[in-house]
Amino acid sequence: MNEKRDNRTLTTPHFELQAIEFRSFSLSYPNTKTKTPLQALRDVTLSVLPGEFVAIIGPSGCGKTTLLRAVAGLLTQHDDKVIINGSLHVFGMPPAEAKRYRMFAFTFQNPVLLPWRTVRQNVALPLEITRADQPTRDRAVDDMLSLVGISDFARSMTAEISGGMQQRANLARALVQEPKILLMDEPFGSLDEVTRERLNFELLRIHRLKCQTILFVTHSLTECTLLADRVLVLSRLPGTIREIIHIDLPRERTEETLLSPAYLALVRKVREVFVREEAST
Amino acid sequence: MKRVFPALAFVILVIGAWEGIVYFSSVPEYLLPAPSVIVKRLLALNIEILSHTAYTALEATLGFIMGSAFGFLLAVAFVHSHTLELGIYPYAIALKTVPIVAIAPLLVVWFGNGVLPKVIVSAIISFFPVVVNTTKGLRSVYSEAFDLFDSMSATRRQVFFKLRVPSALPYLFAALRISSTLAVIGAIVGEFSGADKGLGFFILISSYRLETVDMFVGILVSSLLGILFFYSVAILERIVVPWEQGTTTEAI
Repeated sequence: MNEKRDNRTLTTPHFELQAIEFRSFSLSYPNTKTKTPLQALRDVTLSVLPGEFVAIIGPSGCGKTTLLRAVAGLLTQHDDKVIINGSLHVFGMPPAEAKRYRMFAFTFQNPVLLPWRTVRQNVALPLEITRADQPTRDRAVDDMLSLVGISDFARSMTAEISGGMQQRANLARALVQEPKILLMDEPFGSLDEVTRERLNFELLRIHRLKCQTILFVTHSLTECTLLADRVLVLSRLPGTIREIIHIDLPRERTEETLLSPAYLALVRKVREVFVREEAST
Repeated sequence: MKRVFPALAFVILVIGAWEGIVYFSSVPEYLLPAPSVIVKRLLALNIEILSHTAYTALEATLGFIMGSAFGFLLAVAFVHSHTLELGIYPYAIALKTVPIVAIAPLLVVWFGNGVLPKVIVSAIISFFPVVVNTTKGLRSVYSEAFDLFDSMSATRRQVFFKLRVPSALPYLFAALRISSTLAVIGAIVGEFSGADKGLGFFILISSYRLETVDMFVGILVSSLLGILFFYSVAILERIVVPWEQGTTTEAI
């Protein structure tokens, strides 16, 4: 594995620890019918630096979501009966412990906004869970609403706003606790091209501002190239890392980037690897 | 208003036809009284019929609240303990198949002629839809929402009050709408089995005396009471569950 510690990825140098560290990590789901467990991830070794933006692509059903859920501590040997080999640490802690310290925020493809709450109340939810006091809560929620640009919709019910606005609300809710790690499972997958692109740039802007570590699962070759510092291509099931592509574009990415030859060359490269993987059996 | 108009026109048409048939034919009053006669009698009876109605309304309200509350609590217990659900749920459903008319006389034997047996009949009959629908509602939460709460390290209590209960409310209200009218029926059936007050008593006594006009008055008023119960719940639903407008969740 290539651990090139270039300055671009070292946004928070005071951290000695890796943000996320997989070492020969394998995960299998129990199968009650056939009795042979279904292996979803095989021998994944990966280190993610604090502040790094890593995108994950791969054929459908290759374990991308499983990878993300494992990091989030949503899959455990105890509750979900999954079989885990190797190790996975988040800032030196097992995922379940890191979850208790509320290091993560998870966003799903579906924005999962609660329909009985207004946009504002939805964004405030994580702070209610942690029982933050009211002034802190109000301030943090207001900041996040304006950061993602939905202050005007704060009082709207979630069913009244567009898909793009719902994803912004979802993002605001994820960010409101100032998580160290943002785990995003195809967050913009169901949006139209233009809205998706706009949200991509919003996400990049927020990332520059807040420097979270981001793991971002996507199906889009252009999206992952535009956003990430590194693109991880997973193999077919059982998922393992087929290739890591460094996106050595400047961090400051704009609409110009989308037209630059360097970007287009990288998209082509990612596509080649991806298509090769998809075609292999 | 546009939506109410056809319904209103239809009912006026039916009442008009009824009045006309009675007026032009020689149907005796003890078989089919004209609507105008029924309304006149209703107004003449005012205080008497009002006190019967109030009595039945009280029984139905108490029964409705008790039955719904018990149904809700049992549903909560079911989603927390699978063993309890496996043990009790089949009998909760079996309770529905027991004809309530058959239980009512027994309850009168046990608890006398007062309010209590009617409240119990009313509670039993309104209990069933609530327990079934609330159980369904508390389980209606989709898995991503659980994952969201899990990723925020929410406690079981927080998941229950901030996720399960609000998700179940539309289901609960769909059941309450049905239970509210059933509760009125339960109270009247209870009164048939032994009472000295209430609309059921009034209808029964009138039938013994062959006072058909009074029977129609009783039927009219008990229907109106049922409608009142139904709309009270519907209005409450609009206040408590404003986000589910129009998407009716079917009750069993």
